[in-house]
Amino acid sequence: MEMKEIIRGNMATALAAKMARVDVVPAFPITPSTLFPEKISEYIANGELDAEMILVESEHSAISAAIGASAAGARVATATASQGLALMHEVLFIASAMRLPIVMAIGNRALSGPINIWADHSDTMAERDTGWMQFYAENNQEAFDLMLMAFRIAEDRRVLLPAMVGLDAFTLTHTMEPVDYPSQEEVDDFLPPYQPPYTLDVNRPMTFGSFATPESYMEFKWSHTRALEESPPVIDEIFEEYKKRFGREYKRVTGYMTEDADVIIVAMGSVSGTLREAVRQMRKDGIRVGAVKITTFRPFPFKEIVELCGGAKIVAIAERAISPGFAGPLFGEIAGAFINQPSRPLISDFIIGLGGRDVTLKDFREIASTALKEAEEGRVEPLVKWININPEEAPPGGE
Amino acid sequence: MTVVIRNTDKELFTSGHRGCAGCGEMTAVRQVLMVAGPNTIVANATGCLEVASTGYPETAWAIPWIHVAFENAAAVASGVEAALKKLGKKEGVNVLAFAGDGGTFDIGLQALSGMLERGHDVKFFTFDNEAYMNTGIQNHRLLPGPSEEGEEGP
Repeated sequence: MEMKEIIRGNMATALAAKMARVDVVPAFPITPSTLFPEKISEYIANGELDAEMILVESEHSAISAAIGASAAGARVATATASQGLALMHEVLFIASAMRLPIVMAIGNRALSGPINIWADHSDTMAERDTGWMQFYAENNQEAFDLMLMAFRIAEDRRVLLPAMVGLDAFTLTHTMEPVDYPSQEEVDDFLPPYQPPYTLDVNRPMTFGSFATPESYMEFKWSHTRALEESPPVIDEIFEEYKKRFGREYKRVTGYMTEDADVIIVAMGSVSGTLREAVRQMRKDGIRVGAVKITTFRPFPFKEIVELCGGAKIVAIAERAISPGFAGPLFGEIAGAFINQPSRPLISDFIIGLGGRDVTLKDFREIASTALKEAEEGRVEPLVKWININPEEAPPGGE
Repeated sequence: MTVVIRNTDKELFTSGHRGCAGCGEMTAVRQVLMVAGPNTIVANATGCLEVASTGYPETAWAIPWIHVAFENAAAVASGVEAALKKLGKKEGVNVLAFAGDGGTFDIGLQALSGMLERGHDVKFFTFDNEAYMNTGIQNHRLLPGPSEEGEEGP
């Protein structure tokens, strides 16, 4: 039986964690994710959730305690953002290398400096090589669904990897939206209790986190990488099962009006809805434009990107992160997806919405027209274009 | 204080590890485990003990053992203890943490402070050899500091 509530994104992820019957939640407050631990704490106080909450003294300890709890056999969730995620950095690699299916909601927020609490994807992009799965929600419904599915995917014996579920700061974390959710009985049926293959068990002693020499380190990395590479069919299978059970369809990457498009704009997260609306409006004006939304950034959907975008003249990447000295991080991934194709579209990079700057329909029109002009000229120069930037307002640098 | 060394059928910290001959830390750990017994889970900070006792695929630990990083043994132990409580497996199980003096009082101080304040049922053991020894005798901020002959510690 479906129920509906009008809730903030943080409440959607907390609700999913509650319905997943998490055992342990180690958490530390950080804007814009604080409502997650607050809500979990309320569920426990109200007797709606039987879980141990650990009020840690930092995000570094939050993820460290999550590892201890998960290794001891608990289902573990937490939430963080921005600086908190960055503080976890060294430990994130260890969580995934131990193959612990921890699920973490990320209120995607800009990294300092300067300090800024609003939306972009620089925090999770900086953690793309930590060996975690990464999912990005477009709205609060997706935040709930992806959070719930993340437990099932992460705990699947064919995967056994931790997962981040990204929801854009404020645009989703703090915005009230209607969210449909199943009954507890239906969730229990979809997500049975966590059965870890290995735990810290006094009846079956095991060593977790041993020292690896050059003779074994590469095999650990290889095995871990292979698990991520082989996870897409499992993710697809669980997305499909979710659709059958609850009626909502998910894809690792979703195309919109891509078939005959000259220019395809690729985006992630909450701007995807704005992008589709911009595409609808531009189509009315006769512009052959399409949209692609990436939901699963790790494992990266190489094949699907090529299938969706391969027929376009140009792919315009609209990304909320920058790798200074390179381009946006998504540019590298998408260019990589096409590099061995016999023919490929031009690939053009646009930086949008850093630190919560609004991304509007007009911005996507500008991206589409710039990219179409590049396609006409047959060259992408400069490679990276910053949308909605005021160079006159930029602070002075060196001489 | 009286320490009762239990008669265990087997060693819980076994021979074959790569501790230096006469290393005090290995002896101390072996004796702690003789007292704690087999119903024990250890969270270990990065350092000599972790390096010398767990070169994959071997391990000197005949009890469940986990190592994550340098500064967070207290936080990892907190998570283990909380999970055991929630899963109804805490009864009769000791959760121990092992760290050097740097991993306890210097880089490890924050996590230790949090663990103590929250009141987890974890026993934290520090092997105090008065410097960062695994990397080669560097200074840290546990007082009194390592003193040279003729100098007073602070």
